[in-house]
Amino acid sequence: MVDPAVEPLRVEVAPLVQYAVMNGGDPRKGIRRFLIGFPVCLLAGFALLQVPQVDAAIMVFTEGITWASAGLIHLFGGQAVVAGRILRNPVNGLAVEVQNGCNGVNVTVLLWAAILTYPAGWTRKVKGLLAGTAALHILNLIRVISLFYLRQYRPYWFVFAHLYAWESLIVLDTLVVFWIWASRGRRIAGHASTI
Amino acid sequence: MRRQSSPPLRFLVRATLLTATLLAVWWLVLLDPMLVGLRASAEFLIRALPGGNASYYIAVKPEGAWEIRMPVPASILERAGFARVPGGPGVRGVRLTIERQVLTGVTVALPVFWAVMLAAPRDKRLWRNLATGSLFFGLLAPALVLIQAAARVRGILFHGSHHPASVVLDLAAYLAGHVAPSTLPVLAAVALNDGLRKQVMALADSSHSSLQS
Repeated sequence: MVDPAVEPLRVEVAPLVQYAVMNGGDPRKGIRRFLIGFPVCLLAGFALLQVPQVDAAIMVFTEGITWASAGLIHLFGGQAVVAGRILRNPVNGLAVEVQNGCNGVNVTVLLWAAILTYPAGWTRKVKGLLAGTAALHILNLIRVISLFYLRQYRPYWFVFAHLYAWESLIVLDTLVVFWIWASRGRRIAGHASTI
Repeated sequence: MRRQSSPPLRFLVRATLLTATLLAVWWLVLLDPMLVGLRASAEFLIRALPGGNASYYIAVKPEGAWEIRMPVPASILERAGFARVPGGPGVRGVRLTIERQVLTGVTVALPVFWAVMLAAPRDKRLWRNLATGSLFFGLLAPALVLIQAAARVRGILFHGSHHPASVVLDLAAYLAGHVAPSTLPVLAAVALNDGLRKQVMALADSSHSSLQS
């Protein structure tokens, strides 16, 4: 019960500390577990990508990305035809192939490893995985479409943008998606810490 | 009153602009000198391998790819079905090619690391951290080339093999080529910059701390 005459005191504590305190744990233990669990989970995720059956499933997913990119191009009045993982302009014949590395799978593994090993409740983790993955793949669609047009109108910059610029920027975005998710815990837990 | 954007978004805008700028500088100015340095350090590393000497080298092809002559123990060649020369050397050379695109990818880590460090909250140890990280990536780059080269030697000698060592080497090559150059700079910057690490990991309340540009 809160006495209505008394202004509730808001305690601003870092979300990770709040989570640990609410769960009766030591925040340093959570961090230690993250520091060990994150690289292990990351390596396991990338190892899983090498399994032939997983690779085959990813190829199907990558074809889906190609279709979704073509759909978006049509939606905004552009022209593109799809053949497997190849996105082609039917007018000038120039095409891009969506390959492993351009399908957002690597950064998905990175985000999942970070969220799964971060000390937080499972409901929040599942929400973070779903929303974070969706955010990354929306961005990845923009990446594929931008590369499709760059290939046609600025071929000199295509390799630069494809292999280096977008690759680095999407990792940065993954970091920020994780950061937003982790800091949201402050606001959620902030209500619990009103005493 | 104008509503202030959140620290993660402010960081994202700054880091994106800095990454784009530094990558353009790297692509137009720094890439060729960095490849020269990478070649020298990778060649030094190849010659330092067991059995390595001056007969193992890296030559640059006209299209920019590297032809590498790697020292490979005769016992491995024997396992791959090559006859052992009686009284022959314990190490023999295997020639392989690594495309310029792969080599360029190895050097991209440095400008990305600089960009993230400069976009992160100001830190008293900025210059020391920049130097530490640059040294780390400078040393890592030839090691990544060596991992790629080892995986290609494996591909030449044991094509289609599912031996655990082959699987591990393939995974290492995948990480060296597709993951490390873009992911490690960001992770290293988070590890080295206290302010950024505390905010990203939600160890500190990011809404109260200032992210200076």
